[in-house]
Amino acid sequence: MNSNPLLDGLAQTREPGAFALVIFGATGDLTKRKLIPGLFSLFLKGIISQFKIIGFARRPWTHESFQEEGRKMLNTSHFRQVPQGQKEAFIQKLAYISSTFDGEEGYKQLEAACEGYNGRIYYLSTPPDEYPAIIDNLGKVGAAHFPQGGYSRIIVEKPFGRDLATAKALNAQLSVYFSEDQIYRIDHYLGKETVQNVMVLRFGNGIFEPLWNSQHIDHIQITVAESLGVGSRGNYYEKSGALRDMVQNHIFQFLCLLTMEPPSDLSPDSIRNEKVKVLKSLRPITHKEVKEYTVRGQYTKGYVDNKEMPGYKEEVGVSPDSHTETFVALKVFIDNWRWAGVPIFIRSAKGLTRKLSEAAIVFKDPPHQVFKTRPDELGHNSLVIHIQPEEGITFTVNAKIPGYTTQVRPVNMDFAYGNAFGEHTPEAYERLLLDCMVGDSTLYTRKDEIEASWTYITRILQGWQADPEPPLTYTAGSSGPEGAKKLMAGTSRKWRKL
Amino acid sequence: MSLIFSVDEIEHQLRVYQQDISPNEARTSLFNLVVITLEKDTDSLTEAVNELMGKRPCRVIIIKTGGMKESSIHVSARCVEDSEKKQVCIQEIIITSGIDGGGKLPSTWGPLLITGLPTFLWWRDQLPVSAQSLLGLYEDHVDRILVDSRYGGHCQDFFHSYKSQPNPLPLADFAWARLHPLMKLTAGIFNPLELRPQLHHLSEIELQGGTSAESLLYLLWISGKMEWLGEFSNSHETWKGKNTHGETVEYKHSITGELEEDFVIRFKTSSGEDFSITSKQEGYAVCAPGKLPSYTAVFHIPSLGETLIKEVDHYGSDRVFLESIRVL
Repeated sequence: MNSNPLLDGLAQTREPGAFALVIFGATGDLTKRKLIPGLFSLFLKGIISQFKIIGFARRPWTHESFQEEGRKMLNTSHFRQVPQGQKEAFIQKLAYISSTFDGEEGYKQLEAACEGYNGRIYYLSTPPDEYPAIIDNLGKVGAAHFPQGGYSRIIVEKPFGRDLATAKALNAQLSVYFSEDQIYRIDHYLGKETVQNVMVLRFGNGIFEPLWNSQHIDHIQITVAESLGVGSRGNYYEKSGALRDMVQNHIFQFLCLLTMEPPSDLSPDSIRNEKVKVLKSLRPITHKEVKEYTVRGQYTKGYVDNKEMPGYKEEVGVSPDSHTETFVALKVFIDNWRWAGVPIFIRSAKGLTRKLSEAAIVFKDPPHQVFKTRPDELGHNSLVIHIQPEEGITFTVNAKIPGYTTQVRPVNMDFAYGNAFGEHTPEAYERLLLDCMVGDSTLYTRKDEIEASWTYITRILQGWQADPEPPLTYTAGSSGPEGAKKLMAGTSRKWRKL
Repeated sequence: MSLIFSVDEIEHQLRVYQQDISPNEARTSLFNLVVITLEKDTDSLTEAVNELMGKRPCRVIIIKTGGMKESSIHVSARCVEDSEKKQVCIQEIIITSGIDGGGKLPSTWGPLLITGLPTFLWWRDQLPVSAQSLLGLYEDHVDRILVDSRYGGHCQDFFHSYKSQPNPLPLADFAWARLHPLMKLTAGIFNPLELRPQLHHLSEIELQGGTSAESLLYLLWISGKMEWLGEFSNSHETWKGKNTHGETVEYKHSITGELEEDFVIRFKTSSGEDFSITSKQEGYAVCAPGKLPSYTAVFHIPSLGETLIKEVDHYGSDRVFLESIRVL
């Protein structure tokens, strides 16, 4: 009698039910740029309807001023065509509590504001220093417990720790009040369509998986490049650096999906079990090996998009003798049967020539070359999974140039998401928020994944810490430090052009 | 049919037109769409096909029937450039079928299909009594048939005969796709845990708005899901049945306008509790879930073009649609 058979088989079967979403740090940029637009999109699609969004932050706003801010957040070109009535129907669901994060009073108000909603989602979107106070106070007011038939979940934004010890401490603190299935560690990269499509590409097609191993793959390159510098985030970036900011989370998650074994099913734990196996199979880079397997760099003054960009050390909030890396390149090995001996080159940086995120699977050459083409004219077969700026896939094959001679050159077979389907793909946050509402943690990171990735990264950080030499330098707007080439030295491999 | 055309000539013309408007690289076509439509009913079709522009590169073959003039054929290509400066094109072949109506036959348009691609047939006319008369004609040439029961005809008979076919061609109904927002709102209003028992004790449902076909499909859906057994009155305006507790359930429908314009669904339970979903202007509805507070929910009845895009992305029949017509 408690079932709802009407939900079965509807296009959106994942009915979130009535819930209250509390955004800690609601006055921040993430709320404005991603969370409120994402929630509004879900509302517009009719996926969520019985809910309340409660902003919780220090600023002395009221319900009305938060709603007014909400109106501004929806006043973008993306929602220009949406009727005002629909916008207002959404705005009326916004409420606000002005409170410090460590005072009890605000949390009591919060409990009262959530009354009547069986589902509770607490979104930590504050600077990480505030997490402990919020978690403790939520725990103390019993927010982790939920009404019968309802749920209480907590979403934790990155950075999740800054090394293994701090990540473990945060996990430990969360687990005092919340069980693992209530904790959603968000990594928005996993919400991107192309990243999710990696699994479909690999396990939904028969042609790739037989080639997806060390017998056929020469190497893999993962690049996450940004053209912008740190800008106004110098203070934050000084404590972070490219390795923590991008590699530990986004890139390692992407790497896992690219290299994991097929899961037995699509349940969250089946997939995450396979991801953890990859992370645990990463060959550690010891203190002594950091110079051999890693390169770090720091951008200096240069030009990006025809505009002068200051060097990293000249940015606001950055120490003049900073050793923080704005460029990192790694040569990584996965020590398992499938990937033995296949190097995986990872590169992530700020202040490069262009914004680009991709993974390139570069295949081995044919065992015997019958075409009398110059070796450098014959391309390696590669499958490139593009994430930014366009989401899509490119397969590079060699083809004959029309004419009397057998001249061969590489050509691309392109598949661009936005254009093959020609549709606006959901924003990563929209997808991830919905997943949390319906209790699907597949695209969130599990405790052991976080700790396994930090175990690997912390060794490198310690190795760098022991190294008195500063990072290599590269001019803003370039492809990174020349020294990054040493990771491929002695082979015909090259970094892909940005 | 008196129309004689050369496939090679048409292919050549399409290439020339496409080359003219998209000298740059064009996206590869994803599917063929064959549309059989009454000549007088092409405005909404044009709108729907326009929705495909820039979203789904494809070849569309439109066969206009019911014309009293001589048969003719018209070829065109339209493209929209995407962000990568590549063209997303629709190649359009319009065959106006003459008095003999032979243009409907696959032998006319079959050679114009791009081989190796999925082919959808969109039947924009009344439904015949027998599904086999439609499916049998096209099953060797198309992968899925799209119909719209709002055109009327023999909907109940058609669905009844469809469900008895062994391995029939996958079928989609535009009227069904339009009902999804109503189904979602209905499922949502009874979803709070404390209200779910009420769903199993519904005694009256009244739908105001929508066509007879939409009403029929809505009833088939909810009665199938709730395992009600019953039958229509002679006038087909009301339906009476029993729920799994043996209680009487009554369903009424009145046509007050298109779903986009206005609709109300009222529910009453055997204990006398009232629920309602009332559409408001600007695309949202007010849901009144019994004793719980009312709330607003967005609803959007998909346009013909939006539905078309959704349907050409699927090759099979919607499971719930099949389950619902099995109730007949």
